[in-house]
Formats: sequence, structure tokens, C-alpha cells
Amino acid sequence: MSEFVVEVKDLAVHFGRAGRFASGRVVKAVDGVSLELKRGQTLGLVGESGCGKSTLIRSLFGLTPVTRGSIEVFGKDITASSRSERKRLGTQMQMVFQDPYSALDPRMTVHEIVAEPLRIAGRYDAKAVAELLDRVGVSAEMAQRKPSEFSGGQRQRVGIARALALKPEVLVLDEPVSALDVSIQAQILNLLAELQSELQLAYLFVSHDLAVVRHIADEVAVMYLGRIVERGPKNDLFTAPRHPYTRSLLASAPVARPGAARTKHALAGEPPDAANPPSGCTFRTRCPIARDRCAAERPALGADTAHSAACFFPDVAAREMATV
Amino acid sequence: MAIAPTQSLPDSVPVLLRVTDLVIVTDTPSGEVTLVDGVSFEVRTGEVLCIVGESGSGKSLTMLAVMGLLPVGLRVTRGSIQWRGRELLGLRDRAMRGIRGKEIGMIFQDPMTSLNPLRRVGNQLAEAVRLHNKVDRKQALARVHALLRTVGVPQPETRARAYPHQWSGGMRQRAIIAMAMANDPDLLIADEPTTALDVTIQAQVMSTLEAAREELGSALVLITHDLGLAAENASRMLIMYSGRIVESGDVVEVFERPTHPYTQGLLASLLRDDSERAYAIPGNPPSPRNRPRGCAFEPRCAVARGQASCSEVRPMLTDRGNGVRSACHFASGPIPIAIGIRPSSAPSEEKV
Repeated sequence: MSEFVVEVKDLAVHFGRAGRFASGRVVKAVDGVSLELKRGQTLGLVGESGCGKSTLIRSLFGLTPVTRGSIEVFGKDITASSRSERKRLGTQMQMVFQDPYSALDPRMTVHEIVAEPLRIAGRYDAKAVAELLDRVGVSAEMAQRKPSEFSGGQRQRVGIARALALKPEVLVLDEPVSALDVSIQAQILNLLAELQSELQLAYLFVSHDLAVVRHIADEVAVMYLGRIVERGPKNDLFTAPRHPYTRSLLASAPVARPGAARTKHALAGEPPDAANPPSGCTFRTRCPIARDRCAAERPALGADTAHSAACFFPDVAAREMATV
Repeated sequence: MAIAPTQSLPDSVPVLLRVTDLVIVTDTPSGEVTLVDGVSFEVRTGEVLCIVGESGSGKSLTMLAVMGLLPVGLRVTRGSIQWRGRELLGLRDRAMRGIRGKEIGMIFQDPMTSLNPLRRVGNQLAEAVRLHNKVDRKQALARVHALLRTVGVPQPETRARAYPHQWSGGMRQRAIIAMAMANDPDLLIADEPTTALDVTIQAQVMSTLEAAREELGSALVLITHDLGLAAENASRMLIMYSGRIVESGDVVEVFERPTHPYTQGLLASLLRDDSERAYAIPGNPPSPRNRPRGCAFEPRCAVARGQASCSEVRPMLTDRGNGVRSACHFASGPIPIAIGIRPSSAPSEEKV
């Protein structure tokens, strides 16, 4: 078996293809993405709204038809699997949602919410539910209450307990702390880190918050308009980013230090229309160092090195967009 | 007039807004619940004041009360809100409308819902202009185009004819800023103006807002939960917790020498890439229904452990020197120890 628990190869998800009512516009929401999750490790996926990260997640759970490529979960390609096989693989990969206010059924008690996946799988065990809730820090007395009596942080604990009920090996976390207050975010991040080392979980941690990703991830992938533009080990990527987009993202994030030197390479403009992307490098319309070649050819992400960027001029980016 | 974010204003600068001992309550079946509990502060001409707090801390309600826009069911039971020496509480709607949108401009969090989806952007903005100025439609539209150009909307004449859904989130927020600027207000109130936006767009909108503010020479009250935005944009800040101000002062002072344990905890919980564990303030903020009798932060406080004064007596805002004020019984006592709390000692097994 490969060293990866999940391996996505050249995945593409295109919307609005052929058909009688087709507008002729094809949106390439995900366009040639490859990524790997390792046991006990966290891959951080960073990108702004509309970059395709949600579509990517949906495709991992078989919730959207895949145009091209493969998604192997424990060596089995789920894009080519039967429904029942997908269901079985599905228990090994679970999801934690962003909004703990809408992800929990308001009519169920917290105990029932965590018990539900176990009931569906036919192995309900009250003791196991109690242990799960205890592990994520929800007291036994709270377990009989409904989510409305819980704060955002407590709800997210319940969401994590539910995701862990079937003993998965992979958690996909979609902005799991974005809706939480600063003082609570750290509690949840610490809980996730503890669970990971105890259970050897692999995390795909999707977030727009660079500070959070920098804290929790081992490897980071940066997505822009359906493609991964840079990937690498966390420290390399954050200390020596090679893609101009990554550099701009890092420079745009506010720094909580008054009087900190502000070298803002504030990006001009907005992401282009995904149905009508620019030729060549899709970032070139906003890129401060774009050259003629960027419009003519599309840069590829190198597959051979641990840290690589889909950019023709990473050294120019390093020189001209240096941050203090 | 540009205010360097590192210096507070001298006392000689006139006070625009003075809020004193403001109390906001709501009625529930189980009785009156106090949501904002005795908040006092002032805003001076041209300064940038940041109100930082988590959800439910009362930061938005306080400023809604200033604008006379408290939601139905909430009321002010005590205190005063003076705008240039004139009491706003109890002012007739008509008089309030003359101030709101003219002397005080407002920018809300969600650019998706602040605009009427059924009306062209330009016409909506023109209405804001005509509400306070005797100009005809054409003159108002010309002013709108000029405003949109100031906030960096390309081809304003064309874009103004579009409907809000045809604008991106960042562009809509620029339109909102333009609308707030329409009548040269002396004070802009921005409530989480960039929370709904992506980080690269956030940077664009914040610099637009700062440029607009500088051009008008107006004061800005920025309400945010983001300490980074506060550090980058404000000269002075207020930290709110559970309906009360727990610390206030010059941004540099508060960031470098926080005196309240909550402020210290917030700053310590900022994620650092070099730490294995994040520092987490244990527990959750209290519900306003059962706020502790003494200090609202006492149940989560590392300093208070077992101190009767903390659980029984509400601390008042007290001067700590260098213009910093904080509400803590022990701010001059064992507080430096609290700064020593580092990730490794953070209690994580706390039951919630």
C-alpha cells in the first residue's frame, strides 16, 4: 500500500458542460489538482473564496461528478467505485464543518447527534458515545442538552466528536475555527492536535486564515482559480514563498503588532471569472511581476521537489516582492 | 490629516462623541438582561478608535445605540450619548436622521445585505446624497460617480448602472464606503467592514477606507474582533468583554504592556508559528443572563483564582499610567505573572 492514505491525482471538476440548455460556458472549478494526505499529518489547503476548495472537498466525498483524474482512498479509486464500496470507504474519511450553528440538528440532543453515525452503521453503543464526548471536553451532564444551549466552541467540539464516531483515519476540516472567537479558536486547535497525535489521524485542513494554517499544518498547498499554485513543507512555504500569489497573501494578512513594518504588496484587482480565465498563468492579470511568457504559456507545478510553485519567475518574485 | 497609528491625540483635540455610563438592556420572559453594562468612552476629532471584542461583548450594540439604531426590544436604561455636546438619547427621529448619514457615516459588515438588491447601485447612492443635500438627480449622480472613483471603482459611470448582484463583495463594500462618505461626515463608524471579504480584498478595502478617512479628515470608530486590524489601523483601542470595557488606551501601550488578564490572554492566544501548542483562555464567556457578580472574567482568569474580591466586587476602570485604563483588582499586583502563562501550561482538559 502506498504511504498516502488519500491520494488525489490530476483531479478536474468542470461544470456546465454539454447539454441542451448548456450556455457553452464551462467553469473549471477544479482543474488538474494533485495532493496527498499522510497518516498522522496535516495538509493545509489555503485559498480565497471561489478558488475551488469547496468543490475539491465535495469531490472527495463523491458529492460531485468528477471530470477527470482519480481520488484514491487507501489505494481504492472512489471515482471508479460502486456506491456500496464508496460508503464503506466513506466511514474512513469524515468531515468537520465550518459553521457549528447549522451543522448540528437543533432537535436532537448532543448525545443523539454523536450516536447517529453509529446507529446508521448498526453499532450504537452508549458508552462509546459518552467516551467520545468526554474526550472532546463535553461533560456528561451537557450530553442530554440540545445544541441551542451550547456556545460556538462547544458545538464545534460536538461536531468533532460526531466526525470521530466511526473511527475514521482521515478528517476533512472545512474552516473549522473560522466562525469561532479568538479565545476559543486556540482551544479547538489544541484539541485537534491532541486527537491527531493520539489517533494518528490525517487532516486535510482547509482555511483562508494563514495564521491558523501556519500553526497546524505540516504541509501547505495554495490554491488559485482551480489549481494549486504552490505547495511545500510549511516552514519553507511560509518563510520562502516562491509564487507571487502566496507572497501577496502573506503580505495582505494583518499583523497584530502595532507599528510593524508594512510592506504591502496589496494585490490589485480581483480574481478573474472562472468561466473565462486568462490565457497562460491564471494569476498573471493580478501579478506584479508578470511577463510576456506568462500570457503565452501555463506554468506547471513541479512534481519532483517537495517545495514547488507554478511560476516561471520565482526568483524575480523573491527579489522584487521581498518582505521585511 | 494623517494620524500615525503610534500616537494618541493630545487632550486639546476636541471631543466629538462622548458616551457616559451607557446601559443597554433587553426584556426576556425571565426578566431584564443587561447587554451593555456601563460603558464610557470618547472619540476625538480625526482619531481612529478601535473597539475590540468577541461576539456578544456588546461592541456592536454600543455603536448601534450611538446611531439610534438599536434593534426592537433593546433599550437604553441609563447613561448619555453626547454628539458635539448635544445629547442624542431621547432625540426625535427627525433630528436623529439629520445627524445619522450626514455627520455620522456608517459602514456595516455585510456588503451583500446593506444594499437594496432591486435598485441600481448608482441610484441608491444618489438617494443618500439627496437625503441631505438640495441637489437634483443629475447632480447627485455626478457626485456618486466622483465618490465611486475616490474609492477605486473602475468605470464608475458604467458600474453605477448595474445592480448590486453584478458587483463583487469587495466592490460592494467600496460602494458602501462611498455612501458613508457621501455627506462628508465627521465620524465614520465601521462595524467589521472586511470580515466577509477575502484577505487580499480586505487589504484593498482597508486602504480605501483609510484613504477616504484621511481625505475627509474624519474620525473613525472601527469595530472588529481582529487584533491585527486593530494594530494596523487604530491609534487607540477599547477592549470589551461581556458588555463592559475591560481595558482602554493607546494601541502600542495596550499591545506591549496589557494590564488586564483578558487582554493578556487574547494577545497570548494569537497564533505563533514557533509554538507547538496555542495558548487558549480556558472556558467560555459568560451568558449575559448570569454574568458573575464581580468581575465578568473571573471564572476564566488565571490571576483571580480564589480571590473573593474578584467574584464579589466589580472592578472599575482605573488609570494604569501612560493613558491606559483597565478594570482589574490586581492590575497593579500579580499581573506580570499572568503574562508568564505560556502554551505549555495552558489548561486543555477543562470541561466546557
